[in-house]
Amino acid sequence: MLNKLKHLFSLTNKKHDFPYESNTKSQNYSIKETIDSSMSKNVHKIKEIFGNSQDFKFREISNSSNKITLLYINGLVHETSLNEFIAEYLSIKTNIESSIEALFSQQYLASTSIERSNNYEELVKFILNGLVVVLVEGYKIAYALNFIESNTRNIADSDLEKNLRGPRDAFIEDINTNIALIRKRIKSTTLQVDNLIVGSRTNTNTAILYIRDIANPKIVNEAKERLSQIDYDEIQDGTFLAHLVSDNPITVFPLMYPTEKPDRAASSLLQGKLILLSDNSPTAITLPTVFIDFLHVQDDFYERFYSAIASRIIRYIGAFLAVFSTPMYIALTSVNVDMLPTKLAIPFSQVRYVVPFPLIIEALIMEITLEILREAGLRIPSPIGPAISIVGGLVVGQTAVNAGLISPFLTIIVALSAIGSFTVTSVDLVISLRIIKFLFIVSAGIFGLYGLGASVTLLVIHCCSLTSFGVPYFAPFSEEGIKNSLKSLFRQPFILDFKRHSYYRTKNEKKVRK
Amino acid sequence: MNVKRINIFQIRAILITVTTGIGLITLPRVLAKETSTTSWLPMLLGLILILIISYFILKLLNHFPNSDIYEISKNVLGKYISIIVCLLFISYFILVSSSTVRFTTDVVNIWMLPLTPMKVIILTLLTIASYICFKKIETLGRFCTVFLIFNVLSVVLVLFFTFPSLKEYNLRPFFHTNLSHLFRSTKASLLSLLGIETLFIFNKFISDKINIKPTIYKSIIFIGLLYVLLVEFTIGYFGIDQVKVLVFPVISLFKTIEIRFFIFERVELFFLTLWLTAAFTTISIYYYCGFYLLTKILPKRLSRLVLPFYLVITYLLAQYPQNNEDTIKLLNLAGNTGIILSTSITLLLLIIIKLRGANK
Repeated sequence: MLNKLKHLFSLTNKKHDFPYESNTKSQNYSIKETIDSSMSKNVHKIKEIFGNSQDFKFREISNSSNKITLLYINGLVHETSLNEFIAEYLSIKTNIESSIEALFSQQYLASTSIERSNNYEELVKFILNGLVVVLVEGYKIAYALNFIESNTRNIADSDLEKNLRGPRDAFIEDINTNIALIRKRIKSTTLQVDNLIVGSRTNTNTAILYIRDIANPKIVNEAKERLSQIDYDEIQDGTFLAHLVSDNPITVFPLMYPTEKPDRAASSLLQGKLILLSDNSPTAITLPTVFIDFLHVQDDFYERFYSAIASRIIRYIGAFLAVFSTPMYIALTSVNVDMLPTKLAIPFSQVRYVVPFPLIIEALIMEITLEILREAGLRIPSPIGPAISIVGGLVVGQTAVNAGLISPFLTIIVALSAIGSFTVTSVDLVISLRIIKFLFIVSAGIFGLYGLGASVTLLVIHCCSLTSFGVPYFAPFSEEGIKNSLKSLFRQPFILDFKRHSYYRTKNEKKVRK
Repeated sequence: MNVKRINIFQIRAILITVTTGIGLITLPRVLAKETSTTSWLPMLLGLILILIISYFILKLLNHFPNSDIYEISKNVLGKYISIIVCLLFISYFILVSSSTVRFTTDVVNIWMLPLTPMKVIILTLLTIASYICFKKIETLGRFCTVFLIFNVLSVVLVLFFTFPSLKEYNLRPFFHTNLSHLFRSTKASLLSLLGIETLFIFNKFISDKINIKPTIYKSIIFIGLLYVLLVEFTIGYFGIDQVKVLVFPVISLFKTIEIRFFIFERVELFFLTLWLTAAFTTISIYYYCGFYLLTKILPKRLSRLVLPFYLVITYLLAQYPQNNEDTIKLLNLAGNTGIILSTSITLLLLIIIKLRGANK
């Protein structure tokens, strides 16, 4: 029996000799070498590295003086311009006699940018990135031409982040376009873009953007350090980066702000933050981020000062209700009943009289139903959408109350908490708020107001212990006096707003020249 | 390693939140019992005394800006005596935190959760305090800064609601007392203003040491004056005879207040929820101080056992008082220990430093 168990466990640790493993091994020894002068040998080796993959193409072309081979991946390369290039090559070669190097460098042939390399590793990287590698017979150097075909969608409005006023464009799935969208907004030489390749198998292009004379160099170095230390095989989206470089990967709260809007990204850069971009992802990661950032939207800066403050207050109330309305109701009606005025306590208990469950169970049923409805509605195809609202609205709302399963007051309270959570625009924060709401419900159900206070305290302690790239998560409330806290809670009018928030620890805090 | 992790706002918050706590809801009765309507005088005297004590403590800390009490006493008195000093401080911190825990438990038990067993409430309070011990010291500083506004708000709330119904004749005569009563009353006010001794631990971590002195004096004076107002307003609202018999005069004050257009009936529960933040901060700061010193004097390999051991001792001690009377006795004992300990150790260390300086 024991042996069997041991065998079972050892099975999981045992290395299997799958054919691809030996393949990768053979890749590793050859990939560092420099290329040979024999073209066919080179082609053979690169073919071997790619393991005869079907989308890897090579075309041998020869004219009177030279013999070249084009290596590329089908689909990543714009075929028409490649064919044009070949035609040009064939035609030019007949009347001009010169070396290939001169041809390329004088740009007779290719009008695009040219890279040169002499080792396999780099050539393979070029091919994987969609460049066309040109091997020439008798040459110990290879050329890479840029015929990249971009298959991305057009720049459109973001579905996730809506704004009333301000620019409508959003990031798309191409890193260069995304960088350009930011560069278009910050026409300054101090905007720095540093590229990095992350992901051991996906080899995803990522970029760190920051403004050289504003961003804190310590944070920049830390971000670069953490990005380069990522050891993970895939980076499918910018959010992967956020999860992998986070200060505290297991906390409930989001520590970095993902955005799809280039205007928000540019604005964050000017506040002294950094932007992480990843190829194939419309999500830009803003860091460092503090808690209050998740309740602010870019619209606040487009609206006039007073309406921005008003809508921020509404949003704070909404966030408060989203978390506290149900726990407060439970604390006041099941534990600290004496706190309610008699006129309110009597109808509450009258209605509750018919309900067969204890209040906390009733509330949990209702909240979980709401969560299920919300989760179902998120990714549902639009033709089925109305069905959900009918089922949710009628069955859960009306019928459950009529059947005496749920008290109508609770329905109001839960609806209030749901509406409150809709005012929070950040999807990441809403999810955390929904999770901590359940903690509060349970503690309020057991210990009433005291329990609520205790669990809020625990959560505040937890938030205080969090940092986002060294910036305290509860800044400025945990760092500075009331004046700066108010400044960051509510917006200042532009004519009084001279300084960046000090908690981002920027190099240069001044927003104005004087 | 960067040890300077608490900024000036945070140390201010720590000092104010550690001071506001138990005194907030019992002080008017304690003072009124002894000095009746002259209670403003002992409160001011207490404030002056605590300022003198803090002057000496700051003077001592000025000699050793980058060390805590363990390192200071090790430097001055040698390793073994410093461990004794630390043990004294640890026992004081345990005493303070457990008696505060017990007092909070009594209040919660009486006003909020009459049916919940006391042990459970003690345990929840200590769980919160222990949770902060897992975190670093800057977490404590941030936590106090976040809760500072609620602590101050709970005092301001009292002042705000009693102000319209203050009766001037309740406050008279302004000056009518004798020395022995004045002495006892001053001692009580001194106890409620104690909190400066936590600097023995936190001073090491303060980043801005230049501006620290005015900040500390300002925050002590701020809280002292707030307490003077609190005491006077409570007496002015109830009248001296009533304040003397109320166990928790400030909570009772909210019980009698009826706020118009406020849907909830028992306003004192709201006040209590605010006051709980003050209790949480006081408990967690003292608890953290004791824990910190304990990890300092014990060898590193025992560090995992420190917290459970510390938790159990505090828990048992918090259960020891039989009733509220006992709790208040324990609190007074803790306060007396604190005053005697911090003044005597400070003066002792200062004298030794002075003598050594003279020798050199």
